[in-house]
Amino acid sequence: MVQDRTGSAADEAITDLYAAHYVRLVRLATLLQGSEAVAEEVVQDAFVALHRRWRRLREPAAAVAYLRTSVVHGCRSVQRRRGVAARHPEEAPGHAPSAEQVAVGGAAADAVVEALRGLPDRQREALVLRYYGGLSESEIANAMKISSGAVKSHASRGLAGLREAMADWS
Amino acid sequence: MSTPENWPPEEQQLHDAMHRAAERVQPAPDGLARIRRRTAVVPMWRRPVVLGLAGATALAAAVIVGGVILLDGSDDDTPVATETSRSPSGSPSETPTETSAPSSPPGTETAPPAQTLTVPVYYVADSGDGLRLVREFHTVETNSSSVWAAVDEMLKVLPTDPDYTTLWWGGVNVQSAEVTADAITIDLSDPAEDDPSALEHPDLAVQQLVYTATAAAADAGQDGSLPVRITIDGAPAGELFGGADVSEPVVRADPLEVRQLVQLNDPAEGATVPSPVTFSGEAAVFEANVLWELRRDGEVVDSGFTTAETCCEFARFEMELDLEPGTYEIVMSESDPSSGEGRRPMSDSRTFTVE
Repeated sequence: MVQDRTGSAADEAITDLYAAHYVRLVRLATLLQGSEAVAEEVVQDAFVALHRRWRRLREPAAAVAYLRTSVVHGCRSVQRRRGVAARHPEEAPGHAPSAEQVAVGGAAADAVVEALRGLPDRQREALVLRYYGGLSESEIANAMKISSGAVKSHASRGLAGLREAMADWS
Repeated sequence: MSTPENWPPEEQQLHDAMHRAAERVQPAPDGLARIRRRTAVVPMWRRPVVLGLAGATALAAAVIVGGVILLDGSDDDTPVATETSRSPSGSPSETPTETSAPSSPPGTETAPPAQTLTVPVYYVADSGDGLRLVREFHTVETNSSSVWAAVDEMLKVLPTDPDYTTLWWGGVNVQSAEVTADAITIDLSDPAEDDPSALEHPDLAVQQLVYTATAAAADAGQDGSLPVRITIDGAPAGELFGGADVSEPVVRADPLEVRQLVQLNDPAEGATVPSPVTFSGEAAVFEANVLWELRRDGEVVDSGFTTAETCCEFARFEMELDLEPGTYEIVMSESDPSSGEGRRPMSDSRTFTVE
């Protein structure tokens, strides 16, 4: 059956993509919405969605972009569902840092992540995709589905918003 | 994964801090197993389009209900046509890029000379009440009809406003757009991959297309109240995005339910304008009150309110402000519909420069 053939091709691809991208995507999703547990769910949803659509992807290279867009969107939905409460989720990324982690700069990282969390979603997305994701402007535009100009404006507004928090620890 | 070495220290620190925070995140080891469990079942996302009788009846009823709503709200579409002609030619002009260049549509007879059209294009924005439809006007070079050009623009060009996004992820082409006596028929190529957000909002994604096509038709002097028939590669589409039924032509949903209740038309995002600056748009707001806030570098420098022509349904508003040269952000919003309870008030914003 056609279903079987494409099914197993999809399975293989998912395995490879999982090995190459899962951890990074979970970390990205954690930075985007705060909760590690939710991040795993969002990323798993993205892989499941990709698997279902595998047959319709025109090129494998589009798969990573698809995963990224799904994750950004999934995190956005989570934030929306949380509403105002999202500004102050209980669970910090990575939970309680160990003493060693704090010693090597964990506290500073926490301050930034805390400040990031206070930013509007789009600004946070633009900054996380750029500085954690290491993506180009056009890749970010694609992931956020906004124009490159809009990416620039969100990133610069986000940076301005973080500046105060960064001044405290730099 | 580039880490430009020429980043200023501030950005370098941000990069380092994010990586440090991220590295503490250690996903559970069973992620792949969890994904496998969910992908092992035969996917049900695209069921064959065999509708049970009950389903078909319910859908027919839905279409009729939609039709009634359309008649009620049909006046709301009129501004779309008039607004476009009023829209300054220089307003939201898109710099043509590789992606926006309309590939010549198959099926056009003798290609008419290219013309410049300003077309209405609907997108979505997170409005405070979930995603809602918003509109931009884009100026395009095309040798096709207004409807074709508008839908093509919607599929290929991302919104100018940074607060807007789209439910169509790309990879879809308009193959034909025809306005006949009973429907506007849009034929699309098979989407390579569904937009993940469309899968969550299938009906709104369809409405994004329906609003764009009907607004463009109205704009071109055609019947903008027609339902829109969507076909994929010439065949009935049946269902889109795993949930939106398009087996029958789809009418516009009630604008009060699907559009953002405050919509700025001018100035366009990023526009450079002379003072006094005219701010205009449409709003469907309580007591016709539209609140505005003018910001500069994030600080509110002025605020006030203006009124739409009528209350509670989409009506035009317009005001003028004398402004010194500089870059500003205007935020126009409805008054808090519930005095602090329930949803956030909807608003629309633009960044613009006064020359």
